[in-house]
Amino acid sequence: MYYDNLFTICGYTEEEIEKQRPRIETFLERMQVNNEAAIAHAEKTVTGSYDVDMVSVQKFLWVLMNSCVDAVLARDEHERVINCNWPFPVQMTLAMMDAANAAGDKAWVGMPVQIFWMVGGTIFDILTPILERGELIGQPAGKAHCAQYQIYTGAIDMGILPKPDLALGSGWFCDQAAETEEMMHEIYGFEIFYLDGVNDWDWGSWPNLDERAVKYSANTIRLALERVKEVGGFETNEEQLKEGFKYVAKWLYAMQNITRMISAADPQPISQANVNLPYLLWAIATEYRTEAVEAIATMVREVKRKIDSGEGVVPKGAPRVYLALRPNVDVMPIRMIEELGLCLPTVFVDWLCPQELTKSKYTDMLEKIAEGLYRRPQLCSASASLEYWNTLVKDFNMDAAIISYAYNCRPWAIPPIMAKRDIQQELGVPAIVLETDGYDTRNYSAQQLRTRLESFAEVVKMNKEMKAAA
Amino acid sequence: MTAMEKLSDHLAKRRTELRQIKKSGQKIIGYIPGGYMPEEMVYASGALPLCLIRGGDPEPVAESMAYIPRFIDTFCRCQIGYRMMGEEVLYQLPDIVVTPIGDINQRAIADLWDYYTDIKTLRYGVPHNKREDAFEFYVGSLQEFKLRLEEFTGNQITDDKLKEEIKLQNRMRELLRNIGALRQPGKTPVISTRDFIKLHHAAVWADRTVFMEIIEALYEELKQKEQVDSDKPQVLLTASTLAMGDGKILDLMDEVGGEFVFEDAAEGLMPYAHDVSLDGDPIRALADTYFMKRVPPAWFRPTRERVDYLLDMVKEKKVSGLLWYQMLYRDGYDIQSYSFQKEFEKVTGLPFLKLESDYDTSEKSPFKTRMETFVEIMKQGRN
Repeated sequence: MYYDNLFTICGYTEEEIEKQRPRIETFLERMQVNNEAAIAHAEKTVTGSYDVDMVSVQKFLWVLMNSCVDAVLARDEHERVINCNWPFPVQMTLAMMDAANAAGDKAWVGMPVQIFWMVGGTIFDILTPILERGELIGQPAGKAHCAQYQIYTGAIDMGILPKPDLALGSGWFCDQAAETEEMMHEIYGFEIFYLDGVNDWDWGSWPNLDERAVKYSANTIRLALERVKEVGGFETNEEQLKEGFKYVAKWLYAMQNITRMISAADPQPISQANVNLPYLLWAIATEYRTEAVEAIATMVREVKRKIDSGEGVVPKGAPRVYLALRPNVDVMPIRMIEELGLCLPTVFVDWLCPQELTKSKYTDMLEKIAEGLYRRPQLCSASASLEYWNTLVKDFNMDAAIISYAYNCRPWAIPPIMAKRDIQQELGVPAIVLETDGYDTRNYSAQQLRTRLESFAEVVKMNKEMKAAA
Repeated sequence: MTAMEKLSDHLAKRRTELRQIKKSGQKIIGYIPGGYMPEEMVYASGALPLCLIRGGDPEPVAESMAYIPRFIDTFCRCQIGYRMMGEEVLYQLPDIVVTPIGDINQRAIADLWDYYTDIKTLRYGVPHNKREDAFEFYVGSLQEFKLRLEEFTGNQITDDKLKEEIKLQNRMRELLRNIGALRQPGKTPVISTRDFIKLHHAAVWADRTVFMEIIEALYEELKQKEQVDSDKPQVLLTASTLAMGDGKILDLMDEVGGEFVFEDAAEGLMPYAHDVSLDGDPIRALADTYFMKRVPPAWFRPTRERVDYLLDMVKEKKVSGLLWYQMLYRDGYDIQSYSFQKEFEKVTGLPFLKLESDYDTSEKSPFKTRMETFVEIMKQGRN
């Protein structure tokens, strides 16, 4: 069939395609890509974005594609649908997934919007009309609304993603997520239960977190699980939460491995575009955990092989640059930076800094989850982000920093100008601030980015040469 | 001299007075508007509360661009502009800035002051719902705030002191309620929205004793005023922020021949609908009024209480239309306006106008055109 090759690129075997054919066809129809032109475009997109000759890349794509098919068909295949929407604790979602499965799989639990933009964006490249639909529903263009939630609203409204019976909304980190979900509740009538947080950390207090705020957020997680029990008909237990923790810990460990290997290598062995894939899978809960772990283990091996054979995607000795945001659905900016001869040892929040890694003082699982979320600097405060960036630039011996930020993410729009000032004035490292977007490629232009980055790259290279000469 | 003239006279001298107060050593506690910081607690600590409520000027907005990207609510952004430009005395006076954190836009004010100034902020969290655990969290926030205020001022806040302050603030709230209630549907308001908002602004930086005398007198004056039938379309104004200095839409409403008769704003009006109980633990009583009883802003979730409140007010005030005024990039208001407008139009059949401001001078003309049309539609609806 016209789509077989695409699914083969995404790691499917012939047998899997045959077995899944009815589901695949319903999925493609729902996604509105059930035609040759759309599939040809998808093949071009995915092969242009990722190095699909890497086995790990194929494995990651397989996990993403399978997870997306499940999300789109959730209503067809389950009696109840429970959505967990970003930013949302992955451990908790995994535990609920296991609990739902143990209770007979009548309820589907997942993170549909994330998996949808990952696949709809990075494989099919179909997000623009969905974003446009979202813009018509309370999140107009030009008002800096979160593109992820525009996609969510658009996909639900267009019938691509099913309306849930219960959505667990996030209000512990940002407002847009919860505000949009509240609007969707008013329009579509489905129930929302919010995790809540207060974001009142004193300036400079991170990583010391106010216990009262951690416990408040943890209690909202507890209340959410109780509501899930009532609506979903299953109870999530401590053991399942522990399993969720273990999986996330395994993932973190593997991501740190990849980060260490890439950052220590010269030349940079693989494009950071490929690392987008494990990063994306870090941020969602998937049913296909065994396959995901296998994929990341394969990536570790492939990176090692490339380092051993001296392969590189940038010249040896290239200036080391930190990129502060992963462009989630479009890896073009990453490729562009690498093409300009700059090395990206680590990107966005891939690295766990020492301040994050101190032992938790909490014993309650839900408090541990809440604390874990706020330990991540970018999910905590502007001052924590600044500390993370400063630490990273120093520890990774960066020659420059590209403080790119999602302009429509209000918590992340606060510190970039402060960061540029800190990094340049305190660390003496050149920095540039770039307005960009993780989901909506219409919000930046490739040519404009290239113009700015080309001149920045020249300055950075010249600095490095001058330092070497001195 | 009328009461309002006395108020203007007092406010004209107030900046100088405040400078002298600062010189005398009394602590000045700046705070952001939003209604989640009980002024009673600051007065009870022996310090002076001073709300940072300036807005409406384009220059501080432009100034803020050097410190923060523009995608944060205009009012919140320009707060750092007022401080850094150094022209507004009120922004040079605080010894500390209290920032109850409701949404990220408010947090931005705290972050900017902490990073770019030598004035530190004192933050506490405001949950986004009214569940029992949320109420208890807010109570805890106020208890912590009390301790930090005591530490900062060196004065103990006793229950008795706090209750005394609550009594005074209750009287202020009662007077504002009484004055507001003198405005009758279909009658020309005995006090304009501009003046009513001015009272709210004055309440947060005027000398309280002087202010109380003025509004006591004002209430007596207004009671005597004849209630005259109005032939103008009457409008309910709801806003994210009504800052001191942001009079654009108030002037324009006069120009286009309509009149505001009731106003709701999360920032810029002090919550005055409910008194604080004098029974029991004063902190819990403050939390009950400042958190549970008040109508929440648009960043609350669920948001139903605010929607129902606005629909009830439209009915009660018998207005001919609703003007939704919000700051640019205030996400909560922008998103809520979508479903609210649909429901408002369906339930009431009245016109709805949404205006967004970036405090830009060039907005005036397009605002005027849209408001003229809005008023025309209301007139036609009446006929």
